Amino acid sequence: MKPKEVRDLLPNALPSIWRFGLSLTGDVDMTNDLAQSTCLRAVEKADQFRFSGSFEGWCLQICRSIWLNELRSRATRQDKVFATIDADLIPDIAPGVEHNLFAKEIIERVMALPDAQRSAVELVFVQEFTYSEAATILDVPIGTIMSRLHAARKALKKFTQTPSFDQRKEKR
Amino acid sequence: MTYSDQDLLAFLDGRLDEKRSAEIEQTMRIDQDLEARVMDLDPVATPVRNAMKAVPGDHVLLDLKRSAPFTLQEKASSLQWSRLAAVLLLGVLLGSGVMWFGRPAPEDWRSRIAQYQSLYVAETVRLTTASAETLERQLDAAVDTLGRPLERQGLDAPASLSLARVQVLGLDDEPLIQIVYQADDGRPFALCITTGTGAGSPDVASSEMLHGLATTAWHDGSFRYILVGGKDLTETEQLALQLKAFL
Repeated sequence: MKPKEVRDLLPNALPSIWRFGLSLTGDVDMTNDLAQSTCLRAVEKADQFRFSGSFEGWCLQICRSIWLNELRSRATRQDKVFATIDADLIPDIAPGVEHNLFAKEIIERVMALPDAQRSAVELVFVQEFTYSEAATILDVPIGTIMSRLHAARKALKKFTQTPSFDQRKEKR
Repeated sequence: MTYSDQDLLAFLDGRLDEKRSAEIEQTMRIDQDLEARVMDLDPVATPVRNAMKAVPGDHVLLDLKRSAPFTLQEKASSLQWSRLAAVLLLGVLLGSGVMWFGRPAPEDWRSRIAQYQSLYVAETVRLTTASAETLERQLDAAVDTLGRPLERQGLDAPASLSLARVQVLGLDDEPLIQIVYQADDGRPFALCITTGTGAGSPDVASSEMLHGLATTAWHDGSFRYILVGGKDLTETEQLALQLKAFL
């Protein structure tokens, strides 16, 4: 892929990159920096993109790689649970949910999950990557994704909603 | 091996026995249809997805897109972006030297800020107005970044403007604080503060229309200030006078 093609695709991928970055960092300012770095790196590495996977998945792999390098440079353990986002900041990052208390509560609970669970939730629940795609992006076994989601489900159980058959048909 | 929806829901809920759960997990690795069924049945996924899709808000994306490496290639997909594209194109045609990635001449700072502010509409401010606590934190962050106090009393001086939010931005390598206001009639205004000195004598304000907005700018020898908003230069001059008294 040429750099120009990557630049053309990045605007649509940016919300996914930002949200995934937030799931990794739990911090808005760090997420902004991470999203910027990811876009820059994606343009620089345009010729390395192969069409075997989705463009967004490739960007998220870059995003995670940059974040891991950042962690290493800070000599921070990978599995450390980072500060969770301040609930008061939610109207700042999602102004549309200010008056939707249910959505606001879900975002609060997701952001309060340990970072490993939060990333799995973001990739599978929100971005609808398959378990195996999420495992590839996070470079962990598929079983790890399953167990992280299982733990996250327990924490988010109060928001359970059984989709109707029609909804399920529409979604995929 | 076939599984009923009840089996899969029990699996997702952790109610299935260990042996059966392990079996489903193994099967999912080779059976994409089963994986898709499990994902569709997940009772937590849909409400979480619906809520999280609101993140990040448009203003976060706007700030990111402003400095991301694809800015010039972005297709204008909204009124704001169409306006930005028009401004950029006009700049190139006129040879004004205002380039998105290039480092503009120092005196272009007013134009660049006015250009950014021209993307704001009443809704932008209404949807991003911070709570009192958040505003306090934003102000603290601005003070830390700028290295000078910003008294709330001074920022609240213009009675016709309501303080909405404070953002830490950057202008080349200098910090830029954007203090966003909303006028009683909804019009957006912003007081922007950055380091350095501008043209002219300290504390002497100058006003001009930039990108369709009234602007009044001044400097105090250490910091540069610009108030942007509305279309009435007399109005920004009067508002700036009130702010200057406290800054």
